[in-house]
Amino acid sequence: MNSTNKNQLACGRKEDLVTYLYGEATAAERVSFERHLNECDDCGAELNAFGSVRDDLSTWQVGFAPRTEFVPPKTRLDVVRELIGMFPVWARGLAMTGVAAAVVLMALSGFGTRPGISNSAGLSEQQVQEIVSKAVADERAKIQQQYQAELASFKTQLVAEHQAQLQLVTAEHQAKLETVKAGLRAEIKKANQQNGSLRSFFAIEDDRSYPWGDSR
Amino acid sequence: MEISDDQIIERTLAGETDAFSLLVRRWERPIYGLSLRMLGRDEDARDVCQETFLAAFRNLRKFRGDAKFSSWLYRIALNACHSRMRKRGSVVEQSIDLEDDDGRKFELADSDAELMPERMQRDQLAVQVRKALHALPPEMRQVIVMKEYEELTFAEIAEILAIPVSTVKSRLYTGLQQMRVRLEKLRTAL
Ligand SMILES: [Zn+2]
Repeated sequence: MNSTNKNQLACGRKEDLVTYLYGEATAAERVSFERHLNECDDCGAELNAFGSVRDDLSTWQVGFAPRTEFVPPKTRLDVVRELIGMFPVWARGLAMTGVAAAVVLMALSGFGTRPGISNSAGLSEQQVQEIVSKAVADERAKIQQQYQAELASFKTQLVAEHQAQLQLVTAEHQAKLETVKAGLRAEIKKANQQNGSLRSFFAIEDDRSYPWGDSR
Repeated sequence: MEISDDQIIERTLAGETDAFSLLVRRWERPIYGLSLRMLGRDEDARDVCQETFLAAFRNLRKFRGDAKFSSWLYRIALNACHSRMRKRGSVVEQSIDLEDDDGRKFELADSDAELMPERMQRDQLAVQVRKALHALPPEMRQVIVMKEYEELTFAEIAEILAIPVSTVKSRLYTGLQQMRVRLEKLRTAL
């Protein structure tokens, strides 16, 4: 009888046979299967036949593999997704610029080097805060408009845009922000120090604490 | 030490998209080999290769570190092969490339095998192997290809196909049996 037409080995050890054939049997499994081979002619014949099938299979070698040209894809959807993913960073960055600008405005006009100190002394803390929040709100609205305008113009050239460029822009933007922020901090500190010395020079009675005060 | 697949993935996800090309260089050969042996045509294999890496790149965030990256990649490639086979249907078998490593086309000769130079015999055998492999049902073919040519372990194949190891083994067994019958038939037809 031709054993190749059988679907199953009578002994039921076909899985053991392939495990053994491909060298994945543990030491114990190997010993067990080799013992079985001594008794089971079907398994022995099958093992030989499969061995020569494997030899035949090995004649098909792929001598080369063409290089896969891979360019990180940029579909319109990808670019939109990336832009949206970037939104918090951009928005935060731009808003920070706005806040910083407002603060600098206040710092310079309020405690500036000009002796217009009486102006700042005339404003209540609440008024100052209102002015600051208004400046921030205005700035935010402006940023939103700017961002929407930018997004709209981006949409027309999305396909051409490359992520690396976008990342560069973001990085530059953030770097600039950091510089502006650092400069502002120094400026505010200086202004506050000057304010303090001017105040004591003119002996102005003023026990108000400023929200950005240098008390810390 | 060589950078691991997982490290490359991390870098890619962190925005360094060019790092992904390291993964392409590393895995294009096995993926091409798998696709070629599944589909039989160089052109299809190249396309599948391209599709596989694009799909992997696009879905990289969905890749969970609990499986090996290569297993995930093989699975994507096999899915691409299967959908191509479904689209083409029986056309695939007829249009299988019968070329040797140097790209020369082969015809099945009917002359006496004894008289042919050894190289010719080997090439003809390779052609028969391709034909026999292509006549196998894809479930068996893929297991043979992954075990025999990609040299994956049973456990790895089981992971790629999301089936039990015992199923991998019995498919391989049946596949080898069918290959044996087909190769014997082709030999006697020579
Ligand atoms: Zn047996």
